[in-house]
Amino acid sequence: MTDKEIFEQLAQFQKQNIPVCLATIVEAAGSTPREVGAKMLICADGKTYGSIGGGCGENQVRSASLRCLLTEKKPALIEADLTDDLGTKGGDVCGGKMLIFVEPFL
Amino acid sequence: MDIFEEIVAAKKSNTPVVLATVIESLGSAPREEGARMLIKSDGSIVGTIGGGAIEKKIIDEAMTLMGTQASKFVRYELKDIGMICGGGMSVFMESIIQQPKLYIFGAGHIGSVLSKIGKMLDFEVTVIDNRPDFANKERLPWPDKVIAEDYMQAIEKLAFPKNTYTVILTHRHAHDYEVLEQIIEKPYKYIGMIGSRTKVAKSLQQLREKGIVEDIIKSIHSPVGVRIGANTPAEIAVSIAAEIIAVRNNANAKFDKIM
Amino acid sequence: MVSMNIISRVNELISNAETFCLATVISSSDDRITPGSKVIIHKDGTIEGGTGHKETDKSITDIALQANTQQEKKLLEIKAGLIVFFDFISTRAKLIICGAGHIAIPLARFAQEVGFAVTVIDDRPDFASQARFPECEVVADDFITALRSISLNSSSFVVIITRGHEHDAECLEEVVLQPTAYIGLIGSRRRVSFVLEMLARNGIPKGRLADICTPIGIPIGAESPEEIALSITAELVCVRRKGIGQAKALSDAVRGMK
Repeated sequence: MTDKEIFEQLAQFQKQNIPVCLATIVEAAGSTPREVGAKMLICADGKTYGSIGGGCGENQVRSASLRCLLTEKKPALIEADLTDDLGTKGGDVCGGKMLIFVEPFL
Repeated sequence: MDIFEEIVAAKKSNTPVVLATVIESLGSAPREEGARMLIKSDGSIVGTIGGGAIEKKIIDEAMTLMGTQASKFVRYELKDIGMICGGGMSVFMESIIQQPKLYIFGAGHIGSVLSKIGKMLDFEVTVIDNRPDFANKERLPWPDKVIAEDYMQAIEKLAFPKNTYTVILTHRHAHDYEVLEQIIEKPYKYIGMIGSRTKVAKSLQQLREKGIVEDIIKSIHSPVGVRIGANTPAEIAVSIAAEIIAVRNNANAKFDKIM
Repeated sequence: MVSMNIISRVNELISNAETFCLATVISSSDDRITPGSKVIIHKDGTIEGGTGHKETDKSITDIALQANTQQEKKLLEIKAGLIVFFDFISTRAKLIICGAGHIAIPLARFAQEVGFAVTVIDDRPDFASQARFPECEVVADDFITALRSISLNSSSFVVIITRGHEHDAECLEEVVLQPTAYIGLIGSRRRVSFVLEMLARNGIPKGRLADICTPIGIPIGAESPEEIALSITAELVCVRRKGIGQAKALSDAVRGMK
């Protein structure tokens, strides 16, 4: 999804009073799957729009977003460490670190 | 079946054939312009361009073209090849090959766009993903085939002729390696694998430890795609498609060094 | 917390095809500045929204304006304990295809895939038709009139693939002195040099002509219209991501090795 589509969708949710969390990659070190500025929207029911890189780190971001949306109710900066070799456990190995800013729009 | 039906059947069954057409016929050449003969990969023929020594010559010539992308123009003086009737014959020979296959493992964003582009570039496209939510015809109406199945099981059922192009971009690194390990043992024209440098280096090392020779490992295109600075899934799909075309058109050797 | 206002402003700006910086406070040790607060910084230095702290807004603006040329999205600690993310929002780049022939069809489709807003122009209404180019803007008019109806800017990409070198020349002459991100010209060496010489005679500076990408497309041995369209699309992406200089250098290097 382009920035345009993300922000349009976000405005849509705001209009309908649907709480949603915006996740933005703000820093990426090493080899990560998406670039800085990539955005994703996460709804309270777990539905997502856009992508910050598929499997890699996306699950970490999704659960952090839900926490931020449902309990913390304030923005948070989370680090997705993709260097751990989770490959053997069926996870993803991306070999990099990402900082993701998650902010709730309640 | 006539020649044209044979061509259609050959395309459907993915077997190469060569079509020979007389385009000039002089003197007492055995057949007139427009006469056609189809040569199959086992050397058998459908139709005739006049029999005898010249036909034998053309069949031999056809066998050298079989399965390649080449076409050829040949001219024979009948006397030169020991035929009694004087005259000459020009024949245009075209190799009709199976449509190249493009296997895309992983039906995520990149795989989805790549399947669309691959179809436009005249590949027979199959997308494979073990997640039925991703690999279905509603999401992916473009490819010829969409397979939602365990990767290993799917590979067992797929055919791998020489002109097979495979792109590996599953959602899990473990699956990427699994697929790579299987298809590296089969014939292929192109294998591209997505992933960060560290991820890929690990896979290649695993292959080495399995005893795969360096030449084969070097033939794997990874990082995948030409270096155009692609960032979004659609851009990455374009960069992969461009690399595949460079390989299909044998323009890749120079490319690899620079782009 | 972020007001609904600023998001709708972002949307307005995007739909007006404006390029701007969106700065977001990521973390702050100062209680008066809340994480998540946003500032929109326009190219001319005017701002909307804010952190609620004048001085901070000022430093954010300064940094945004400085970073504006590179438009590199980044995270910066602008003073002790205050971290801000600078995001640059730019709208879809525009691709103008001059010539609605057989390459234009796959080119329009590929370019749309990678996010270009595509306009196709041709003086033949049978070719420049909505049916042939769904979801594109289509202008069926003589090339000059059509081009003059389109405003070009530094994020406009122009591909010239008309049916004849006279049309190529007139399109090129019309756009070459305007701001563009990319101009690509198709054609054999002979046809291209004919066009370029003609423009040089008409007083177009050599330096400007050197920026034109020709032969068009990255060298992947493209032959069919679809393959050529793909090689052009790859070049468009390369220019958008890496800049014209690097894109040309790469292509020339590959061609030079033949």
